[in-house]
Amino acid sequence: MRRNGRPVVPEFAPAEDLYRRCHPDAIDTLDDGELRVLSTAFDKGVHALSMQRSAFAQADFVRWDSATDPGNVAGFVPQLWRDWFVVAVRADAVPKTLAPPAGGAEYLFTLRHKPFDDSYAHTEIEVMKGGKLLDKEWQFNNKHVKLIYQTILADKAIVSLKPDQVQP
Amino acid sequence: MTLQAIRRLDVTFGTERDPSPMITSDAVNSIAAPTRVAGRYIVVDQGSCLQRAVPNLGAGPVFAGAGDCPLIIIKDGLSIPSANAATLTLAVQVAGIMSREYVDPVFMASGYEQIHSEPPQSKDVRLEPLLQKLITIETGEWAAERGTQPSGPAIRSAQNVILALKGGPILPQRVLGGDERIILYFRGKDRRYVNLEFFNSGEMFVVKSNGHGTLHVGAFDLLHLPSVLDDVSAYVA
Repeated sequence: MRRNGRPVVPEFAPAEDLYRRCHPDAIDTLDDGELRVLSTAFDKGVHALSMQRSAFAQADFVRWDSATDPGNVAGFVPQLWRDWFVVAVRADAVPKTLAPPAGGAEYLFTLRHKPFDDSYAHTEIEVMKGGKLLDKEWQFNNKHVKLIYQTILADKAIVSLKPDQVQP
Repeated sequence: MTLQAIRRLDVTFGTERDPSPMITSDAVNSIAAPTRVAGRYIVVDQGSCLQRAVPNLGAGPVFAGAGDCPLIIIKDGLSIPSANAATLTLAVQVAGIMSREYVDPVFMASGYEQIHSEPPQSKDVRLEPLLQKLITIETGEWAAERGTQPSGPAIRSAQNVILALKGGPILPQRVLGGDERIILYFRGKDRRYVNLEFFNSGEMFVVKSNGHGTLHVGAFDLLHLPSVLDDVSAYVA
């Protein structure tokens, strides 16, 4: 879990899973018992979705907040989100580009391995538009594109862990 | 106050025979707090020629008097079927109201008319948990981890759409709160689903997915709600 001086590994295998925790409301149980992931699982921080890559993490790892995330505000107290789901989406399910239906510059999506000291597997999906990195959430302001992006991820995601379920 | 109260609709502008100038949006907007309260409002514009309403309440502000003398003023080709106005927040007193009773009024440039006067339709109990969920989302605890709490226009628009589904063939499986948005989630056959998405900004989108990543996203507004709901119904059938 800790980085321990290990390097950034920029390559992602197509079948590598990306784990993310989500509120139980973001999961629907279908009539056949299958669990469907809904797009709200990919809501918070959509301009740089925070995940952990399976090459260096187990699904359960995403239930812990990082205490060394440089984005933490002063006084941030890391929590354990044991009662949330953990979902997984394959690296090759992340769209590479999406074009706004109304025209304009394409959005480009790129996986970035961005380790924290206490979370070596930490990964983000960067979003760029017109060659510019969208590093603030408000900059990803095309709701049309955002909904397409979130829905694609949701449709490709599967549930890895249910609330309170421990790693098999 | 519920929309059924609008069966006793007292209109402020003139009479059928001698209509006074309609109250303009400027005049209505000049009404000062505290008589003006939160909620959706529809404003009438001078010279508007209105048609009979579709079940649609989201296109603008509604003003209504409190107590036994509710008032509705309508803008932009809308009138309000009484059964569909049941959850509007109605609360403004406007001076000069002519006391008359109207159900499903149609407001026209030169007057208004009564379309019919059936009693309010019975309550659709299927809607209650959906409406209650909206209240819970708006007023209950909200983890910042989930993004910005849905509020205002997102809640009201979703509420109006739920009410428009009264007695109809489709209902959302779930009402979801997300980052600055409310989602009405309709589950269909063969993994298909539709989300009607309502943002705090007032924007609305319909997302149709086959459940496998093939999807269509389009913006909509409440003026076109009937056709949107027909489309949802056809997709999830």
